[in-house]
Amino acid sequence: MRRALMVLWAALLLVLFMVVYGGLDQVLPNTLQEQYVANFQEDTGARNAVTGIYLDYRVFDTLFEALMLLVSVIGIIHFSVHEGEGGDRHG
Amino acid sequence: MEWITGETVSILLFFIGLFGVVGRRNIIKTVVSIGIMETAIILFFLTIQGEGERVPPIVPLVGETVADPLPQALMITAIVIGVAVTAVSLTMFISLYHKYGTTNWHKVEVKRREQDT
Amino acid sequence: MAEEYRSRIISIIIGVLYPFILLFGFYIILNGHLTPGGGFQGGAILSAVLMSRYLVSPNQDIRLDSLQIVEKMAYALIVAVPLLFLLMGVGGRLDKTVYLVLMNALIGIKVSCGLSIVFFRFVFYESR
Repeated sequence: MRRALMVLWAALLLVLFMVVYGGLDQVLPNTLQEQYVANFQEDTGARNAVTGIYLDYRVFDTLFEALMLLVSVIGIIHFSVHEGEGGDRHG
Repeated sequence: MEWITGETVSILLFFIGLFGVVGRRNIIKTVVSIGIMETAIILFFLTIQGEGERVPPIVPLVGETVADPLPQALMITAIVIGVAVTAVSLTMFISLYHKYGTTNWHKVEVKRREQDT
Repeated sequence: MAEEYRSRIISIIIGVLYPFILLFGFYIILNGHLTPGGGFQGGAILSAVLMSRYLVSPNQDIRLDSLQIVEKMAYALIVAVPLLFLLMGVGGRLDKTVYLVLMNALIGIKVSCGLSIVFFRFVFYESR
């Protein structure tokens, strides 16, 4: 009963989303893409545009992503210490 | 069958993951559902101006239209965040299982209330 | 993993595959600015080296703390290298290529250390 209700609820949300999403007709200009594709070679020196964006145009994104991975690793190490383990030399 | 594009598949996958989050009480299934939702979002962003005959944005640009490099660069970040979220939530689940001995959200709540009183 | 579950076939095959995994990972990292790939992807492949090492010899002799020190140093360098290049003022095309290769290598080292730590932490400390 509850499961069927949840299926119904998710399906209703899907239909609602599709109705709203299908009604969108505004097309945004892709000037950003054109500028990236035209300029990335001389701006960044990379031949792969994804690397150019990842390491040059949006380097702050990369920095904080790396910080987040580091924090999650530290979090895993400190969450997985159980009681009665004593001092662990691998910490 | 031309309605099977990355867009529709990703929207369907996202709602399947949403059902898994709200409709199930197993913690492992919740974590897996969050992973499915992340995958759906990554697929949705990769299909923005990246479908069909577009060529990848790498320098011998053979072709007329080039795929948009910006969503691809952003999705690397999203993949890393997905890995971190899955790993941390599984670790937290293992600690919680050692403490309460169940994989059910509801039973965990009941046991926690019993231990409080 | 107990002694009798260890497969001799897997040990020998992984011993043969080691240099190829390393080569593939370094290729993807160092050619990240020319071809598809980059630091994160190559780092994930490099972390497979330590994971397959666990399949061959599941000992607890891996030093997770030194791996973590390497990861933190790599993150400090990741923060420092763009600042350095910004302050020095990157000029020519060679500087930009050096910057891209250096950043890709640092991110690769950091990601491989992080994923290896996650894997070994799950294997050694959660299996009780």
